[in-house]
Amino acid sequence: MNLLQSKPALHDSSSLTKLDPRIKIISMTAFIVVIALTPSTAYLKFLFYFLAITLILVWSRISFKKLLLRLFFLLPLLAFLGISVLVFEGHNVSENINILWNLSVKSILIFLCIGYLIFSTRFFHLIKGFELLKTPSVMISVMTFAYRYISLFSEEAESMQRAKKSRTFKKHKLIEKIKILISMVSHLFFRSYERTENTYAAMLSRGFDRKIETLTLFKTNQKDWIFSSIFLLYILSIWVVL
Amino acid sequence: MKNTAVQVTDLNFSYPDKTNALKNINFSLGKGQSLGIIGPNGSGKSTLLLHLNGVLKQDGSVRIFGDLIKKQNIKTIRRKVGLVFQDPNDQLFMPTVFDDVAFGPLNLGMDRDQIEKKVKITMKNLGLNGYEEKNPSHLSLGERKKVSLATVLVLEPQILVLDEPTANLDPGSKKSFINIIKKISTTKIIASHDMDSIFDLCGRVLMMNDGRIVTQGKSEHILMDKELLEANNLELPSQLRS
Repeated sequence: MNLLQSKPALHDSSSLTKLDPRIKIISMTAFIVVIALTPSTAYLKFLFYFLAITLILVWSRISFKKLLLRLFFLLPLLAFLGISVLVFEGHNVSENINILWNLSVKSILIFLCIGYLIFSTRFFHLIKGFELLKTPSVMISVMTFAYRYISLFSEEAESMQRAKKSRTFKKHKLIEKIKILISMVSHLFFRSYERTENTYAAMLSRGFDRKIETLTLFKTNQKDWIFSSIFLLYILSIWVVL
Repeated sequence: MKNTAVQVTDLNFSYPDKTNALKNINFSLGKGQSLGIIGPNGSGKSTLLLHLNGVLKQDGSVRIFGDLIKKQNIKTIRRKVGLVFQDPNDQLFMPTVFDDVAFGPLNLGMDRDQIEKKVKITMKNLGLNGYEEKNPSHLSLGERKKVSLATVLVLEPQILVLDEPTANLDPGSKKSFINIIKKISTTKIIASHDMDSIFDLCGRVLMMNDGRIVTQGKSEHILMDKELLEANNLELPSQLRS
């Protein structure tokens, strides 16, 4: 399964997915900042954060299966961080566990926030939202091209993998496997480079000038303001009261 | 001058690796005419096409309806010259067919109310009704070629430029695609080494090899010259073989 190619979500499935992308970006950014600043021992706060983001995800009808599948990619990173903490940090065991807890809980919460943003918003609407919020154009360009180029990269990798399988008749030794892999990676870069150049030329030839245009003209409405007010108030009250 | 759709003068182009892809190219094409650019692989056909709407630029001049292509008028030029790429995978990069067809009109600042209407009409004319929400990468090659054409025809270009439009198509899809192109009454430039399509579609032919123009003239003269064709790795159209 190509995760980059799969259909992201039902973008108009609930009132929470229909929100203006700027409102979603501002709300989630505020939430992420609050999560990052929360002390690791504030367990009750984390519980309420989980409740809030779970409620948002359920209300948005975002598939938990899809989310968990992507969360799987975060696990190796967390494992690596965990090992680094245990090996290199000079604290005692309980302090190390605390650091690990802090990293894990915050990473997962932030992952869920980003998951809501991605799965509830069409990619180009999200980019348009960032653009309307005056995000520097370099960052917008990087995001736009990463989106397209990563999928090109994965398409090329898949086709090379197929070609390799079709001509593999025996089990390779590890050293042979590594050699093949290195050669494939270098070819992959060249092939992806060529394709991305062609795609960019195709975009240019249809008038693209690094500015994202969408059919929808975004305008915030009452629902947007109600959601953002309630959400920000909730976070603030958790922060202050607990 | 306004009756001359394309005027290319002393065009030269080298790629960063110093490959001279175009050497002293000169030709012109009248409004409403169809020009076939033929030549073996690597002869410079695609590179030449990329100069016609300003994707590539180096030495020499390209004029579209008398206007020299320059940075200031690039949007107008790209609206006038629609370029369909050889590989539809390079041309199609949006999540749905509808978004892909609407990409050009949005970038060229067309009225949003009109865009939806235009996209639907173009798709209907090409027999793409019902494809709006489909992912372009899940379509057959023939369908992707049609969508690629739609992404350009929606801009109502005055010059239609097609790079290898029939490459890799099965005979049925090829015939249907040629019939679609035949019905388009605008000025056309078609690069191909499929002599049958060129014979069917173009009144004039320009032959290239190794980045140079070998000859140019009426199709019936050049496409019947077996020796000349074979000397340039080409062959007679099947209609003329007997």
